[in-house]
Amino acid sequence: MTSSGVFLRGNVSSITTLLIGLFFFLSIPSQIGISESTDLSGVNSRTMPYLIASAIILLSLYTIVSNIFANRKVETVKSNDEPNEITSYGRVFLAFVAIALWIVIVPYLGFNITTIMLVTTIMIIIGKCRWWQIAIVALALSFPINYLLAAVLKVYLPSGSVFG
Amino acid sequence: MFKKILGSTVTSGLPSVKLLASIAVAVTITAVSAVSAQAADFPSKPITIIVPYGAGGGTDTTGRFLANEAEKYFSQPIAVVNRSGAGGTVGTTAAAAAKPDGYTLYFGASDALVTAPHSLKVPYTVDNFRGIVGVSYAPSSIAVRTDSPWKTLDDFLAEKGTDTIIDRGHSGVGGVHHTLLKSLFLETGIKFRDIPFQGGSKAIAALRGGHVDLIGGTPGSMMASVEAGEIRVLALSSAEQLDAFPGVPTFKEKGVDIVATVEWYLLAPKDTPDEVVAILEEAFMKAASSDEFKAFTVTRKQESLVRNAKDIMAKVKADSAFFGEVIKKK
Amino acid sequence: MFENFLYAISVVFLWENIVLIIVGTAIGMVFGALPGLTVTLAVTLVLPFTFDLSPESGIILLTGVYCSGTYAGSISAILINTPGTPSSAATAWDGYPLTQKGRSLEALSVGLHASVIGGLISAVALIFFAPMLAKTALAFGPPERFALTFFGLTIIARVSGVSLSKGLISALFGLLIASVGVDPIMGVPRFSFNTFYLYGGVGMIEVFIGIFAIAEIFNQIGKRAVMAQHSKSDSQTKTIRWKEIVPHYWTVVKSSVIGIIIGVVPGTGGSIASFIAYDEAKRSSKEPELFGKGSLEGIAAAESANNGVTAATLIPTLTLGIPGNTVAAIFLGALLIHGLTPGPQLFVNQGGLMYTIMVSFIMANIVMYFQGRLALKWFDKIVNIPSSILLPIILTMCLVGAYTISNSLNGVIVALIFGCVGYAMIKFEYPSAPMVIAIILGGMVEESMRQSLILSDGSPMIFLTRPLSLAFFVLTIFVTFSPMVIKQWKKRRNGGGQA
Repeated sequence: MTSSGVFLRGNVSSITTLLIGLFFFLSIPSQIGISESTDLSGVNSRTMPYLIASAIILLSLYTIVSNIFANRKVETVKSNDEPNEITSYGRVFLAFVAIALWIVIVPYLGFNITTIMLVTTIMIIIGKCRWWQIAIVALALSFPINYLLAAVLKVYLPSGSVFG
Repeated sequence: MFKKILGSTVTSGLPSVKLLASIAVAVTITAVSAVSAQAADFPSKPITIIVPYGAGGGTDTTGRFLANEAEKYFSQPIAVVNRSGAGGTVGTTAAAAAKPDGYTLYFGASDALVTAPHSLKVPYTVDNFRGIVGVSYAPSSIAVRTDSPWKTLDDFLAEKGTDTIIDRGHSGVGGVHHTLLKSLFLETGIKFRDIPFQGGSKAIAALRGGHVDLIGGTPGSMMASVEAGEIRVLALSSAEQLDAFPGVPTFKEKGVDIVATVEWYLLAPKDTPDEVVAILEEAFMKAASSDEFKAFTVTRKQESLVRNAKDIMAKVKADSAFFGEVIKKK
Repeated sequence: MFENFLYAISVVFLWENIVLIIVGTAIGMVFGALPGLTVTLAVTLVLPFTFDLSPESGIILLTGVYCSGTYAGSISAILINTPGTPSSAATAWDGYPLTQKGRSLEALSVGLHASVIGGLISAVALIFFAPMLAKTALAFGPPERFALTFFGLTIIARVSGVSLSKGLISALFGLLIASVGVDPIMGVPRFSFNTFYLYGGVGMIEVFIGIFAIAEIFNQIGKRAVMAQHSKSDSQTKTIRWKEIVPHYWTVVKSSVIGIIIGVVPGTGGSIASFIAYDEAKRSSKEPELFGKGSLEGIAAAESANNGVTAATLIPTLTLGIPGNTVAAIFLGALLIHGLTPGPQLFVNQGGLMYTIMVSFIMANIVMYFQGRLALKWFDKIVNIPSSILLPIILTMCLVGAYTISNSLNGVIVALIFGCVGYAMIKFEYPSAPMVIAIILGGMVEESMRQSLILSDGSPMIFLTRPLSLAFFVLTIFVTFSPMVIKQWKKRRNGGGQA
């Protein structure tokens, strides 16, 4: 593995936080207006965000730099520790897409139908369950919850523009 | 309606034909009703009232009480939904953008609708609404501690031109009370430091604890502290004196031209049809005029004043113009 | 005083009032345990029913909802890692690890007992110390509030776990999230990115649902090998017993007192109390290394503190007319509706009612105890459901909760985004506790700091010249640095002995 690859792998999270910190720091002038004020506090709407964003940037840089010096050590420790746990990021991504679709579809199909679709998808992604389990869980989580919340608590879940 | 048809079909054995038939019927009915018969069978489903503040606050409890009273006059239930955030502007935006069919209404108080559009970039103005009923109002007022050197409004006004800097507290930037304080200090030229709090009760606590010199807020919320002999209300922003505060003058009586109040009202999105608004107005006028509701507003320290659709909208528009002018002055 | 007390007992023990307490605590338990349905909402929905009751019965009903709603937030925190109320956030840090180890019933048991004791101590404090403590509440101006919340923030350093820099970054992002929305002093929007929804800031409960629950769902789905992640509840504890709480009695008493003191300060609330109590318990614990990994003592501290707040927060409400939190504000409304004006004279004119409030707090906690004993065994069964069925249930609850909190899909979007953030934090081993503390306290810290600096024309001396504020800063320095100093001192002594 190239040294730059090792560097990236060890610092992915710190580089991400550094970039987010930079993004917020640079967006402050466009995102936070300053209304002129008469007080002498010396602190305005931008002060705290600037302090926070700078601190994030500095800490991320510090972590990256200290990682470079301790690079070898980190690598060896990790290789001993990790292998028995394999993460299937594909399944996580599918679950994310399913939830995102729920948010998109709910205004059209309403809570009941969309939730049945979501629960079914999630249970298929997880696996290890029979079709009748899926049917029972999906039905139990849609109509009864919707009805109970509306009837007992007067809390109304989204109803669709296409289906009720 | 559609759900019901689907449900009955599924239980009855011959799904496909009946389903198609019912869909056809349903589509026709929906299409027809959308064109003409909207008002005739109004309301045919539950009515939602958006309250732009959190559950349990003064506006929320008033709105819920009004909804409870009004339910008597409708065949359908009325649900109160809290959409709080950003001083009520989030919920007000939602209400302004709601389908103008009379099934989504808006119960609010002045801050979010008449002051916020002048100081924040919000996607609505008073023109996005039309009135149904106004239920109550409360003036603003200024108050000081009992041990303060300012015994009356005149003592306070005498600070004009002196070097005294007054620490003034209020319930939040851009609200009615803040705007009134701004107007008062601008007109008199008295020096100040401005300390906003999140909510009137925190401002009252700060005054009583001696952390600020003067606060602006509704006199009703200060009643407890006044009775305890801890604070003194100097002046009211109503047009006339209030029975609950005998001897407390209005600004106008003392020659300061400030008359403004917080109003509580029920509104609908602008394009709601006249016939629907007429039905709503009749029912909610009855609800707001009931003895129970009037007694309730009094316990919430609001002054009961029922206005019809036309009057409340005129009042809202006048308030908006007034506050806009003050806020622009800076 | 004595006849008032007798009157209160005679009122609370009327059979219809007993029924009201039972109904109220049951409602509170359901609302508290479901993420997204808050105690405030429960109390609001119950409020209209109190209009037709006598003032005493109305207060009794509300008290039941309030006490058990505050307690029940811990149930979902322990079982599904989602605090039902913000003040149960600290409970999740230890409760959920215990559930993963199959010791959920023990955790629930400690949570219940700690809550009940905290609630009882708080109820007694309400009546005996109310007038005295009320004066203290007024002494808290902006500088004092800043000192208190800043003290709360320094806890971050001690809940960060292995890596302090990761903990600090997590906290800084929490502060950044807290700064989104309309600025509290100037009224200008910050980081709204032209989305109007963000004017109101990022919803706290929505973020918690994301960071705690949805992130955990992603985590479970991603684990290919071990699907039955929750080991079955097979600890020795099969019933809920007092025995569990006995070793922690001192922690519980101390935390309850912390809860009472913080509850008296208006507008601070249960979450900061539970953080401070948790931190103090960890500091003085014999096994501080267990904290955050499944410490019963940690649950005891957090839960007794946030229930210690319940009655105490009514002290400024009743004596000064200044509500300590949103629920107290509704209590205030309920009193006003019945024509009772809060203030010092309320204790003189309405002594009977005041004692009724105290006795009903005591009753509510007792009823809640027995209801909890019955319900917890059923709640605990949740853990034994296979995760292929449990995860969709939790997910649906999360979506419903995130939606109902503001009645809009924006809440669900926020929860999903923070689900991804939380998942990334799990994967890269960033602790979520500092972020949660920062989100809850961030707004209060900035607001009080800026209010203070306006009052002092920009001079930070205001924080040191006010006695209470100075005291809190001295305490902050002491608590932050004393462990290091003691460590150094011990090292030196041991080293000296060897040499």
